[in-house]
Amino acid sequence: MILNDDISILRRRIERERKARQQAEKLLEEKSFDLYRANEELRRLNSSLEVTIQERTEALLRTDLQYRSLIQNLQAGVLLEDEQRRIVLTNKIFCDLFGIPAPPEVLVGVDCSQSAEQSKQLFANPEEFVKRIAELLANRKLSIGEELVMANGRILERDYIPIFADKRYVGHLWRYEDITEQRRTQGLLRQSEEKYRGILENMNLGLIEVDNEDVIQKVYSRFSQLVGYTAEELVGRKAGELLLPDSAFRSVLEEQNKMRLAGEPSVYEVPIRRKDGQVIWVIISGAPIFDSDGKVVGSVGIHLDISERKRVQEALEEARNIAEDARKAEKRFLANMSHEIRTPINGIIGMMHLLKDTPLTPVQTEYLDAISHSADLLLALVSDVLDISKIEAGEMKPTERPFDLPDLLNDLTKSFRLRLRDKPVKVECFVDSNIQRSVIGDPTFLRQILMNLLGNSGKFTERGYIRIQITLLDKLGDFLMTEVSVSDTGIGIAPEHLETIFESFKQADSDVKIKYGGTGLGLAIARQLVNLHGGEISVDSTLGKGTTFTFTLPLKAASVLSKESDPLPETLTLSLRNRRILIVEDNPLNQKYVQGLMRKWEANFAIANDGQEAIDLLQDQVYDLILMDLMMPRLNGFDTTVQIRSLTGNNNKAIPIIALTATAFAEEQAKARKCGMNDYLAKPFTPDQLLRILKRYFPDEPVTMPDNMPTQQTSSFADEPFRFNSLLDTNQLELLYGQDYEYAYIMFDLFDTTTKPELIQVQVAIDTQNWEMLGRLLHQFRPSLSMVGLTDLAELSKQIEQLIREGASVHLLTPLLLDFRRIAQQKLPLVEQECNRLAKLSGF
Amino acid sequence: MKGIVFTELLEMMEQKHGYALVDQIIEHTDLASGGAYTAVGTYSADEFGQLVQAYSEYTHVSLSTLLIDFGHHLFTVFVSNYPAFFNNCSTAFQLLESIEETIHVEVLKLYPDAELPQFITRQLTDNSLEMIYYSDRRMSALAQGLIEATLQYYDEAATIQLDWLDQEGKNVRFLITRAV
Repeated sequence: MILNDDISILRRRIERERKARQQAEKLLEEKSFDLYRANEELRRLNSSLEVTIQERTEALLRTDLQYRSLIQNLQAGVLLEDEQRRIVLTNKIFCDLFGIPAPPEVLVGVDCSQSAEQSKQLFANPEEFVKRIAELLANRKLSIGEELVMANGRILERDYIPIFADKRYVGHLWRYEDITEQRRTQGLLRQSEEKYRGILENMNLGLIEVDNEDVIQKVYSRFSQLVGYTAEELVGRKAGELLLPDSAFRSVLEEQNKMRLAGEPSVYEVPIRRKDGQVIWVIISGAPIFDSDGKVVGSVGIHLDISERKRVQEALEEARNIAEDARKAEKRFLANMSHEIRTPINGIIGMMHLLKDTPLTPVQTEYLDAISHSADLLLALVSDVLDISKIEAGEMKPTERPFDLPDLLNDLTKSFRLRLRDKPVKVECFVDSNIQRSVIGDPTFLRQILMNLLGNSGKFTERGYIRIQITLLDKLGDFLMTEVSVSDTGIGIAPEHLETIFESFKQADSDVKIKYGGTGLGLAIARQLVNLHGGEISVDSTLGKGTTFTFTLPLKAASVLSKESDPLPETLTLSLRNRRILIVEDNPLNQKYVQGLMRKWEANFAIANDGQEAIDLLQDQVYDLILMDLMMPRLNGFDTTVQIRSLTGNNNKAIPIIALTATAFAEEQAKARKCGMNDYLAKPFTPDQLLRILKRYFPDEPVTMPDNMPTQQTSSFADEPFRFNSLLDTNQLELLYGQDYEYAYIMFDLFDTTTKPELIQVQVAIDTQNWEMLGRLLHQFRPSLSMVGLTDLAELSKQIEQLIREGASVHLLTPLLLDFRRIAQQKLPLVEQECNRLAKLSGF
Repeated sequence: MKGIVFTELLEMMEQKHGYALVDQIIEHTDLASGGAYTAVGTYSADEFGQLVQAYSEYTHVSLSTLLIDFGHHLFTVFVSNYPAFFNNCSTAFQLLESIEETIHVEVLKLYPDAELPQFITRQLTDNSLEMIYYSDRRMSALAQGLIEATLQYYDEAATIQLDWLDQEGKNVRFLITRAV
């Protein structure tokens, strides 16, 4: 039983053991499988790890290769040593620098603890080189950019870089670079900079550099001297705020700074206040400064002290103003004087006209004519002076008015033809058909310009033609630009005189003045008037061939008309018996005047037209006294006198010579005396003045006043009866001249040459509505108009004069003025015609 | 719970009372595994509880005494199977201190599913060591047996003072004081 129990217990036990074994075996299988999986996983991890390691290794190799290649190709010699000073890496340049013949790869692992000692001879200071290497190695401190001079003169830059891994020193890197070229370039650059800085500093030019906000960045010492501030006081300050004396110049500077920002340089002048308060003027040449991208980063200003120049400039300006004021005062004085002189001359002329209305002997009439002529010349001169003074004082302004251009030209040429009637000179006029008749401009100006130019041509032209030509240069709407030329076939002007021909009182040369007379103002007036009218005048001339004056004349197209009117002159008495007097005088009027006086005083006289004639006469005959004009053609008075005084074996050598001259300058008087003249008489002179002089030389001579003058013989007219043009007041003319056509001619001629040109003043007075002047002129011209049979004009003048005196309005005056113009236009040419006829008749 | 605990408990029962008792306890206890255990297997801790409870009932020996005895038995198995742990330590304190840091770490390497108690060991003086036991199994008595066996193994005389730090016996403090 027990055995059975034991057997069943054992059976159960075995059963339990078997189950436990099975459990364990199952676990073992599971564990094995787990192990297998773990193994597989491990293998997988291992292989991926291998790939990673391979990749990492390759990357490392690549990096290593890159670094090596970088180091080999570096433009510097590199030497990497480990802590035992064995070479880890070096490159070709290092080997080259230190003269190592082996390739760099071979050197790896080589001990270089003795290398400094071995290569020290390469350096200018070998011991210093060795010492410094030892120092660097001992200190193990980074050292960058040390410079070493080699024995061959080249310069090396050295870096020493110690290498630490986790604070542990593992070696170091040497970098050597040849910077010889760099240094040379830098040296050259510095030299160049120094050179230009030196030049600038020595050039008295103060330089500063400012940024775009005008803040001073850099100051050169010359600038410091210029403004009295030190560079430290200037840098960082705004240039304009510190240096400009007042805000007025801020805008100038701002404008300049704007230009600078736009990259533009410029030059300007400003005042600067120095530190000591003194204000100086500088001229600044400013230029923008660009950075390497071409952006404006500021500007540089070069300052030159021009205070002295400014002072001189201001002084000159002041002097110029004073001179200008003086000149103006002179002009005013001249204008005033001319005006004042005109009044008494007009008085004389007026009285002469009145005198002419009284019964006179032909001789008296002749003297009166001579006086009249001189007075007219004087008036013309004064008028010219007055005109030029007015022009220069800016008182003469052109007024635009419509006028008939062909009418004006016809009128001018007609009267001018008459003036030249005794010369074989044709006066022609051509007007471009493209210019319409009626134009707008200032006819007074044009008339006066042409009168002056024609007068000039007439004076110097003996034969050929004088031609006015007007051509249209351009037309723009109503605006007409015309060109007017006045050409002649006269004596011409020498090239050297062409430049000054338009200046006041400058005739071609002094001989011209002597031979041809004139005031020397005509061309000056013409030019001024042309300029005032908006044109330009020029001259072209060939000596001996002729002269052409050309001026531009701006006009406007219009649709209407224009015209004008005139005055006259007169004589005295005394006696001088049995004296032989030589009159040396070229001017016919003066000749006549002196001749008359000589006749009156019963002197014997002879006339010489110039110095040469006088010398000739003196060769044949002995005279008691010479009246000598100074300005004469061929041989002038001074030269003649000198020749007379040097005559040999001639009784006339010590003859008293009285100078007669139009000017009253003391220096001319002195010159006359120096030449050997005994006395001096200024023209115009009265018979009394001449008599007083003569009495000094003929003290014994009783002076008698003859009661009657020898009557002038009637003209040697031909058989055909002469009749004045019926359009003139023939009754009046016959009453005046009877059969004395010579006398009539003289009067007509005088009217034509003196009064008629003056009639332009009437036109001026009408144009400028200067009624007071018109009244005076008409009063002055009225007697002359009567003398040539223009009784209707004289009557109109009287009426106009009357109305003006009564202060009548323009409205009342206008019809009369228009009548006056119409009649004058119609009848004035007749006077010239009559003058021509009379000339022929009386054999002139 | 590791299989070795079951196999060694049955081994100890067999050694002390013969296999008949082992067979009887297994036959009369409703065990999930059927009472077949292998050392490398893993079984429910409740089964261990059932076995110890049955063992205590059959032998009339208290549970704690049984567990202390089992601690002594297990120690001999450990010494036999894993001498390396003991060779590395020359004193009981060294071994006790290495339990958490070394022995349990090695156990987990072999049996990642092992559910081990936690010991926090602190040497208070040269001759006193404090060990605090934490485990939901509430088998501090087994720990006590193992500690006593350790002291015996190193032939060190010491007193073990045991204090429950809670009501259930999950946290228990051992103060081991070596005799000088």
